[in-house]
Amino acid sequence: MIREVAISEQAFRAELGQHLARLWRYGLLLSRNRHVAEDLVHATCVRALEHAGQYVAGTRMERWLLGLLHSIWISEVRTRRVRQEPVGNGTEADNAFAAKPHVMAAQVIRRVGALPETQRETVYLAYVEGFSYIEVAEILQIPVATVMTRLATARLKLAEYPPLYTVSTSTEADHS
Amino acid sequence: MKIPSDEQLVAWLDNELGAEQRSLLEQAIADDALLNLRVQWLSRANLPYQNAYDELAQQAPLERLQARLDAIPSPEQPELSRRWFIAAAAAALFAGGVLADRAFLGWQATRSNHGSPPARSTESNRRPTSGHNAAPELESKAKSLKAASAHEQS
Repeated sequence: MIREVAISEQAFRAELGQHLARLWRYGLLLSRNRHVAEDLVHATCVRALEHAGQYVAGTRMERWLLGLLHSIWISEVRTRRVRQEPVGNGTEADNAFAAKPHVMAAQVIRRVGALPETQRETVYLAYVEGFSYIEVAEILQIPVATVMTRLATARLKLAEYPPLYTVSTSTEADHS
Repeated sequence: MKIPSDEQLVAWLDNELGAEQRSLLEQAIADDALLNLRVQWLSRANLPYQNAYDELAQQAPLERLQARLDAIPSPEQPELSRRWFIAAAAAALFAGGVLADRAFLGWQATRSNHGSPPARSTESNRRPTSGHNAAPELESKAKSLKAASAHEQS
């Protein structure tokens, strides 16, 4: 009995370890801050281990984890009032690609990062993680209609940018 | 079909519509050049999202994140399992006591059944007998329970 519990926790931790990078980038998308992103991942791991019993084995663990991270972020925002920093003024999000910039990737991330939080998280879950509308609605605890509205609004904003391939490095001032 | 909303057009772009709705919408887009332009405008937001964020994920401080994960203690609190064990032990003691009690009563009943009608004797014999014999039994149970709870508090 004790042995079985120990093994399954070990397996659980191992699977958790597979999703760290994924959680981190979602935390970064939400918080726009590398340190906060790291703390969010840690808090998500703690909560995941505490509530390991709620995870249904065999289902997509990342969906469950992303939902945990999101609810932690929301409660952080509400209780500690973590401020969203303005975009485009040398915030850490802008420096996210300072280390190894790939121009196209940097542009995409910059554009998504410029969206308001609700649109940002919805675009991320639908288009980066590839979740269906229903799955996104479950993770964010919102109606599917809201998911659709957010995506439509976000798309209209993203459509305003010039196409990626016509943008030279200098005009969009990405790190070279 | 009335003019589709941006939400519907986006859902079509995202392949989230049912077959029937999809064909209706495709017909509408084919018939309406302006609607077609609107769809093209919305599809400008089709960007290589996954590639971009996969590159970002490579920058995750994996070693540190993993180290912090490894440092999280197992949420199974030892105190909790100790309590559980004590409760289980107390329950076992109690159950054992009840069984011993029953066995003793059964033995008493069969002994006093000699010479009297069984139907009435079990009724009349059990109460005084149990009252008399269960007292030390209960006392010892109370003692062991007390000992268990004292142990728990220490």
